[in-house]
Amino acid sequence: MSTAWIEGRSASFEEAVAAASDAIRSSRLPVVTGLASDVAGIKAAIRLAQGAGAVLDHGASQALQAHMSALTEHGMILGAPAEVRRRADRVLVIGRGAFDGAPELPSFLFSHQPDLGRAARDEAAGRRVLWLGAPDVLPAFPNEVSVEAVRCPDEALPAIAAAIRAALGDRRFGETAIGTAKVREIAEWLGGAEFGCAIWSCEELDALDVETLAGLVVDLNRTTRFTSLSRTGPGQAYGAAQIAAAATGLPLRTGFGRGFAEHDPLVNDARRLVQAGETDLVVYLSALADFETEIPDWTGEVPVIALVPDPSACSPTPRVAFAVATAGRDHDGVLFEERMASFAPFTAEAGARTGMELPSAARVLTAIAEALGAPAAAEEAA
Amino acid sequence: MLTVLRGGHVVDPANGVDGIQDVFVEDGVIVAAPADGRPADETVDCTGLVVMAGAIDIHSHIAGGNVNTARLLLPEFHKAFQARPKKTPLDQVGWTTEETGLRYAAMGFTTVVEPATNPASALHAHLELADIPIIDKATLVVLGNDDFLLSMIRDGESPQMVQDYVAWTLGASRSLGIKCINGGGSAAFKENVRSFSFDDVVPSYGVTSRAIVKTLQGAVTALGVPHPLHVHCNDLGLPGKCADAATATIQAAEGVPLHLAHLQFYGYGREGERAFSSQGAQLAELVNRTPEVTVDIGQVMFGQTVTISSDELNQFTIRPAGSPKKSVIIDGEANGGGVVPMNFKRSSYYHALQWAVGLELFLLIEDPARVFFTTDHPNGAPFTAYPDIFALLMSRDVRQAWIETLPKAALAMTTLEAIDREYTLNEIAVMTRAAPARLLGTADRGHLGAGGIADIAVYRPDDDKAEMFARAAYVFKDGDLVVKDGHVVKRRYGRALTVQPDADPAMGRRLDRWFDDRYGLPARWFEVPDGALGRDDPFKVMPCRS
Repeated sequence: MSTAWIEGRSASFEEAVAAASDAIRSSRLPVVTGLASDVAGIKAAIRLAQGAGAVLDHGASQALQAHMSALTEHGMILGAPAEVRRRADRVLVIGRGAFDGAPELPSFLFSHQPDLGRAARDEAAGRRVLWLGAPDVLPAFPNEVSVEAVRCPDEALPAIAAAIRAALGDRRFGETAIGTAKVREIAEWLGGAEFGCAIWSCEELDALDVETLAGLVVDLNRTTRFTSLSRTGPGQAYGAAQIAAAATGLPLRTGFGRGFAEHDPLVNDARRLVQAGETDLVVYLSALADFETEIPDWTGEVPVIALVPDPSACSPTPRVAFAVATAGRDHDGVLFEERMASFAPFTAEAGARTGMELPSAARVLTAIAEALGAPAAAEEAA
Repeated sequence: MLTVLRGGHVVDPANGVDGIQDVFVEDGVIVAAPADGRPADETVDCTGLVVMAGAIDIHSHIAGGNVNTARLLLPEFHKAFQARPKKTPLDQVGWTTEETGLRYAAMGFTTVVEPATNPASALHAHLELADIPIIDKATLVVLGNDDFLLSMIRDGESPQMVQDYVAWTLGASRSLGIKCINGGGSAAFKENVRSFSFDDVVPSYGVTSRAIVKTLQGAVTALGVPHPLHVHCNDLGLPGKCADAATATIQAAEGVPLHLAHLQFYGYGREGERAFSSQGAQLAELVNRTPEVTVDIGQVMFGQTVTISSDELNQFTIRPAGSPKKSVIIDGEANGGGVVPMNFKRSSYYHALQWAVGLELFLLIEDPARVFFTTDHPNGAPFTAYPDIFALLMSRDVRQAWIETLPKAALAMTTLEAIDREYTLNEIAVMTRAAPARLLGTADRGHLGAGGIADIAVYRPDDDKAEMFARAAYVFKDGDLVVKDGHVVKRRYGRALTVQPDADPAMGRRLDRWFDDRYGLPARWFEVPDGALGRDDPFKVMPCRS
């Protein structure tokens, strides 16, 4: 069975590695992206990007960037979902897509009766959920959870959040999509939490919106305790950001073209680089269970070195393609686990499919980096 | 291959050596001079040089969730963003895993302990540690704000049960010791408690910080874990209250070993116009007469840095003093944390006083085997400031030159100017080699006796001690020459040191059920597997006391 292809033709692993390294060597500005992999795959992709002088970005980093911008410009108060599950007495869900990509999250958070803090001591208080900007049909919540749905268009949410901040601070505010009285009521309800949590997804929010929501949470902590789950998108985006920060000192969207790491979330946006014609080669890694493994349309006509479980499904045909094992299923490894807000080990599924015979993404990327003759990063500290 | 380091001035207080001597190395280990006179295969001429064991840093935040959050919070301090990188202290913090190893090695450090690993992010910490080149490392795992322990104490479970839980946590997290950070403080903060002292009670548990510290101290001691319970006291930095907290904690040692972290941050009283004065002399005196207590300092140096701590309550409280004005506070499961940037300014009365308190403690605590060399990296200063601190300890003139640049009102509140003591090379070697090895229970290092691993730092003597300690002439790690003239010449990877006391398997089964039921997470996610780190043989197990 072939596991490597050059221009759609079956090739040996070594030939494909040589072709990939040749393509990278002759590229003006390669982009290493996707990064939907386990920690070993992400680390190997970072080393390749460093050695190749490439740009490093996650393939679905729009939400991540909105979160990171709010974090680096403003700061945040963040919580671990596992603690929210046990402790939160009042939960503010914001936006119809708050649980997108994590359909199991409401059940994880709310199937457990709170057993820490006031929600545990005072059963009558229990746990209450207010969903601001709720969808017309709510997803399944465990039966005992009381959810108040407040409906409004998503685009009205930032103004409502700002109005709630104003109400909390006893400042004047203008009309919003849910009316002044409702704003005051929500502000009062939030302020009455003992340990509250706000949950939103950054997928549909821009950086300033996230900053406003983060600011609301900080404001609430003047008098009570409130935390947040700021969800950052699929495909191990947050894990990749964490690993990149440790390895490069910087968040994602980092370029190595000038011989050292430079972080610029606008300049080093993989999609923008493709669309503006600034890159001539994309190295795309996507090999996670339960995540899109096709090459995304936005890579357009730019040649691609693909590392995916099934390259035959790729269109257009990649310049070089490797069939790689699926992280989270075919081999042992480590993934960022949203529920734990940290990394967790996983083991290969018993009887996993033929993926067991495929190389891991880390192995392929390491082989390409070695063929490239990428020097190990600077030997000298000082 | 037999290598000899020939003719150096060997400073090895663990073996009572302070004079010209040869050091022989074979197969990564220090050996006695060959009795048969066999010639060495390789000779390193150390004539005129100072030869010590590799240095050990017992408390430096170099890896894990909170450290990485600081990286994410502060991209603008990365050197790529600095117009004049060499002038900015955070350019030198070893901000990446790689730089951390290279810069420590260049200074002759060969073992570094990350002192605050949340059990839930032990794997994260080890993933980063595994990428730090050259040095060996270890973690201290944090207990004392976790529902499981607090419930055990509340419910009066047996000391044996607590020991089993502590042993399970050490084994799962692959740690070398136990840290207690503002015991109960983070748990109380989650119930909106804004101030939490040693005898305050955690709501919902009815358990005091004192009870938490004493319970953990008892468990660590009973398990034979060599490193004493490592305590970050309550009320850090709060004038008056902080000194009271440290005093109460020291007095609570009650004859059993206890280590207090970054004592400098507790050395403040409420005297003077600004209600901010030094309690350094008083705390030093208390340490001097409490032989079971060891401390590290957490020296403040001037410049931009960032504070990183699992003391969530304290980090929340100090946000107004932060600069730049942004922070991350984390409500983790059990442990929380906070990242608050801080700019220590020479012109600030408060910061100058903090600087002076650290030096008072260093100089007034008499036994260099009980006071450890830290900046609480990066909380007081990045570890790259160490060479300057060596110079401050070893020279009264250097201290005086610094003092003259600082606010007189601050220095007037301290005893620093009246202190004549100058550390000797031998005392520096005690503080950074012999004593830390003893404190951590890592008998294989910290000395140059036969049988020790060949972690060796060789320095070129210089009147400018900062220059001497900034760039080692040679550094050997496990016998490999890794640094020459302050430059890394060979890349290799060390291991993480751990202890593995026995735990009753029943505790593992109980925790399986508990994690699953309460947190909805499998207990195995809290266990760091060998194969997860991408290194062959990533751990080295150190023995517990029998």
